[in-house]
Amino acid sequence: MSPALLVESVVKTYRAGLGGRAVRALDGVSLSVEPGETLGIIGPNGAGKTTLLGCLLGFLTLDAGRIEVEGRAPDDLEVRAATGYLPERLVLDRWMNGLDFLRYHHALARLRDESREDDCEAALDRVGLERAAGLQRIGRYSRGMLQRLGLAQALLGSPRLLFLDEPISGVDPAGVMLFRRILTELSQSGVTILINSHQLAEVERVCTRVVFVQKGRIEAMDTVRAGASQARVLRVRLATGPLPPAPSALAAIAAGAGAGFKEWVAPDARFAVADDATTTRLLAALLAAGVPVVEAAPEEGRLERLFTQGPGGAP
Amino acid sequence: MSPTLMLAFLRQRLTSPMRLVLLVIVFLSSVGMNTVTGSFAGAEGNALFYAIVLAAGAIGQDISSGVLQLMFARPVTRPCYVFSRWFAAGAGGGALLLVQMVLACGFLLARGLRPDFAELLPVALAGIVLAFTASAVIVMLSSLASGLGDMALYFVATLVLTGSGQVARWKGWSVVERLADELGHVLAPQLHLAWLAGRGAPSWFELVSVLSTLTLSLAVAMLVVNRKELSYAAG
Repeated sequence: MSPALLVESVVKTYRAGLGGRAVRALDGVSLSVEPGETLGIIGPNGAGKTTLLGCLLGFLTLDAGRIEVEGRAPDDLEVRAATGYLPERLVLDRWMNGLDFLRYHHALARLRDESREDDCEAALDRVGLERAAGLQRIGRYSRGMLQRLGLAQALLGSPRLLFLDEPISGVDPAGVMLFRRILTELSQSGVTILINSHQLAEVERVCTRVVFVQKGRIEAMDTVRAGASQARVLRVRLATGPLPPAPSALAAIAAGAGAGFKEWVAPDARFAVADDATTTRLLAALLAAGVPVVEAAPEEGRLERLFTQGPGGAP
Repeated sequence: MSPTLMLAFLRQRLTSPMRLVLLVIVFLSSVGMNTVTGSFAGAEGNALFYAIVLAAGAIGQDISSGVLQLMFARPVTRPCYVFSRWFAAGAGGGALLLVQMVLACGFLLARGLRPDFAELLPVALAGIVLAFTASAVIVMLSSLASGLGDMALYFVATLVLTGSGQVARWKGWSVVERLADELGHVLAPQLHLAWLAGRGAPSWFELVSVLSTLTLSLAVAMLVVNRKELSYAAG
């Protein structure tokens, strides 16, 4: 099967003003995304993530390299008709109301006129905006409502490709859960999704693969949820008592549950767990052994480690 | 051209209070003037004004506000976008002139005066052509400057050309004077079609000058927009 997105040795340089200093935003980036894959792009500010998205959407001219989207050029109209996009700096036509905005994009997307009203109302409903909100001028929307409306327009026409740049920025917790649910549904229905986000926990939750971009290069590529291999460190806090638990006993319990004992620094014990099922088994085993567990929480995710320690720090 | 883009553009223009005030003032005063004098001489200049007011910031405001990214993520070509902006502003300017003339004719007839219908057709036609030409010039300037920078460019260029024309006339530099004059016609095109009503001879130079200004302006606007990179980093 041919990839949904193919990026080969892409170089993109910006020049600051006439005769200004050249800044290489992308430096030989290569990447292939399979149809139906959900790919997260992470990296520090200025790493080139948004530039990469801009190149994939055909907004920017490449200095070198090649990009194909479903075997075509990124600015091919067929590709655009199958694409949904939510930009990072979401600027909507503030003078329209929400429904008008969706109708406008529905028409621009060349979708069927007859289904316009139904499609727009359904899109509004899908992102949790009521009809009354749809009749409100966009200039009066809160940041979270804007993000929801932006996602609604990106979903118009059931796109096969979805490009999301910081999709949950400014969204309340209920909105984050809604976005997560929608993205999971889309992913399951075979939509190819690219998410550029600083919300590492969310990326870890919804993406199947993550690329770490730094200084215009892809420094690491990682499968996030290949089956159940979501390894992490679990911190278990124990009730303080006169007799601290013996590390050897904790290690034996952990081994019995398929986890690894890392260390005991009162009042916390740290275990390496491969997945959620191991976490459940470990906690059950600790409680069954009478270990006074008062709290358990995963420590930083692997993406967080990747982000803070670089590729070498990834487990 | 996209009817969706054109309609949305005109709706957006009419939500701007400043534009509305300018259009209403000039529209009403022109209807009044036509009604009082019973003449439509020079009314084609109104179409030019309407088109400039409607076209101001046509592309530059989209660039500075950042709405172009969402638009060009849709199956919309850049030439289609430029053409739609141009045509909407030109058609809007032309339509306003026609409404102005129809209203004034109505008032004249109500006063028992018969408008000079032979004068109307050349004025209306010239007005429509000028509206589309001025709209093309402003769209071109708008592709070069963000926000309402096109208006700044327009007024600075007008000042410079007027000033240099005056200096050239005073110094007797005929070539410079002619150059300033012709370039001035790019910013404020003139077209007289009275010959259509059998008055005077046609000025083919004037007609070709207006049409070439229109074509060249659109070509430049399209070239600039086609080359524009849509990224805040590119800015």
